[in-house]
Amino acid sequence: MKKDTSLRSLILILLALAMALVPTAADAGTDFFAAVQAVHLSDIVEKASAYDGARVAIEGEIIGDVMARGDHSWINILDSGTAVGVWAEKDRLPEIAYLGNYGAVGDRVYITGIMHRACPEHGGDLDIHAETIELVKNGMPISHPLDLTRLGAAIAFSLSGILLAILWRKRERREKIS
Amino acid sequence: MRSSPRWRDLGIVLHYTGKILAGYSFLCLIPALTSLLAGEYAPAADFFLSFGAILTVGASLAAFCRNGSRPGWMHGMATAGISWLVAMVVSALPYWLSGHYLSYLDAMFDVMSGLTTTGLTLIQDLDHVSIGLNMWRHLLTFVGGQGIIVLALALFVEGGGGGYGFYVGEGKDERLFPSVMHTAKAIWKISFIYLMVGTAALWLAGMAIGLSPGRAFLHGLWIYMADWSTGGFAPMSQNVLYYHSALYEAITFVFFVVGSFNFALHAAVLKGNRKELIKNIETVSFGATLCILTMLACWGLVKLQVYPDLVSLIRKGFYQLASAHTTTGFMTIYPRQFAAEWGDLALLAVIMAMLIGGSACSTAGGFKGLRVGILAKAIIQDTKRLLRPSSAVVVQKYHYHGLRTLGERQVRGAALVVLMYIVIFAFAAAAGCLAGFPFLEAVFEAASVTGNVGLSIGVTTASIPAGLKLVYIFNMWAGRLEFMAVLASAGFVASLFGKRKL
Repeated sequence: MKKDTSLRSLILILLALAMALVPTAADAGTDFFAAVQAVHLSDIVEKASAYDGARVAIEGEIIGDVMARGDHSWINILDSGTAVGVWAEKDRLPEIAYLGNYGAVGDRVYITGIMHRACPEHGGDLDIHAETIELVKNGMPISHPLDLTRLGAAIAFSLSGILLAILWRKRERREKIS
Repeated sequence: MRSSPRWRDLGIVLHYTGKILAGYSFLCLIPALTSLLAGEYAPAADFFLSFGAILTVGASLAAFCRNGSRPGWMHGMATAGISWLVAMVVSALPYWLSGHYLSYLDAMFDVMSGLTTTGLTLIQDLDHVSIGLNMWRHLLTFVGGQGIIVLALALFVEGGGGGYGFYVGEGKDERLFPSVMHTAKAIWKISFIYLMVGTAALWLAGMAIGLSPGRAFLHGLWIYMADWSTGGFAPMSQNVLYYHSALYEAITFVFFVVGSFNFALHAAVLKGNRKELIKNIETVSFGATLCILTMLACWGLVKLQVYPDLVSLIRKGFYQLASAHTTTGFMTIYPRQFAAEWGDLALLAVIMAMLIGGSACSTAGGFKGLRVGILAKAIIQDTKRLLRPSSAVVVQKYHYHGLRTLGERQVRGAALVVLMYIVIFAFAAAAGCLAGFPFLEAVFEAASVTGNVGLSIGVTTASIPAGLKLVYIFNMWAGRLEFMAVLASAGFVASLFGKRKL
């Protein structure tokens, strides 16, 4: 009797899991049980046709802006010189502390999602529709200290340039009068 | 010791080059002040340093290289050619100081690419570039589109008899007014009117697509500068793809098409002569070649099923082709996607579009629609001659700010320029092949540099040989100045060391 109850519970749990997973897989429009391929962004761009429709895992720095569009957002992820757009539900985005730009190294994230070589939803963009986004490492501010030698050279050159320009204009005026 | 006339000529050329540089140096103050406002003090110091260095060089040349003579036609042409090279060398200083370039040659490549409105870049880590440096990149392309000589003429270079030589030397030969200085001022006025309209449109669009107001303004200003000048630079490494927005793409499309039109056409339309827009041989030629090449590209893309639907075909296929035809170089795909996905037929259409280019006396590069139109009319005229009796007189007319009769002089002029474009295009393609790139990729990139376009198939990177970078720099320079100033500069330098006097 006890054995029957355990079996029933197991079947119910499996059914519940399947019901939860099927709509997600349908949303993604792909085989949910397909293996996730960890890839570099440069490979995704170089071999876009090979990864088209595949579930991929990428890691990189969030750069520039988080561009909100309704209940989704666009973020652009940079990895070894190649940046790719990621379309993500707002709720799935982690708390972002830093976006990569001149003043900061952006937060590093690990993303799994479906790669599209020419996304029909986004006008043919090469993009990734995110399923999970995890914060791997917080970004940090970058300091750019003022180089005093360059500042000195800037002052010296500016003064010499202005003095020479005055000399030139004076000579030109004198020649015009004569 | 009395100097020979040739060296006196050099004095005149260097004097005016100095004047142009001195005026040009003040441009550095714009990114310098931008950097200060953004709290970026290290780049601000770099820009003040560059301002001082360029002004020192320019003022020295202007002050010490002079002999009181007024410049002639040849001086104007040689000054135009040499000024662009000197501007390339000195403008690379802020780039080099930024630490985003692997060599000074790479920095010079990017300056020439910006000034000639090409848009190819060798910059490293573009996504972490300062606001000041981005301002400088886009300012260079904006000023280069109108012309650094046009800027100097509009501001303070009197020019004298050589004024028209300066102007023509920079690849513009259309006078909007009888005076070259008034023409230069009119070109800048037209550009500033569009600058305000275009920046406002992209600013609003930027906020609508999720950029913060401050970022939307800066991106709007920069993208507009590259858009109008058919330059193709963008503040992010993904170029226009970064924004993932049909709205942004649509606005950039409108302004790069408008930017590729002749300034004289803008002036005519602004004065109320809207008929010129549909009658002008350049707009007719542009419309015809754009339609034919779009069909060709779409045929190739549809055949290979590159894009899943019509919207994608327009946003990727048509946008890239129009960007190529107007010699803008904005991209919404990755360079390697051209090579891996587009196929030969679509690439052929893009290469042809890049070579044909936009209108004469505009910010665009390439053969120019005017020359393509004139050559097409000449073919029609010759065909008529073949079909009619030998005694018949065949008169061919074309509309270009009034009805004109096609003469041998126009046909010869157009054919010579097109021929020279083809020669330097073949030269760059051969250099690309010699550097080890596949034929189609070498040809694609050669068309892009020769037509001052900026689309890339992935050849142009910092790792290409220095020789290939130099060839590309030469092609961008020669293509932008349309050869006359280049030939004049070469002849001028040769005359300094040869026996023949000017």
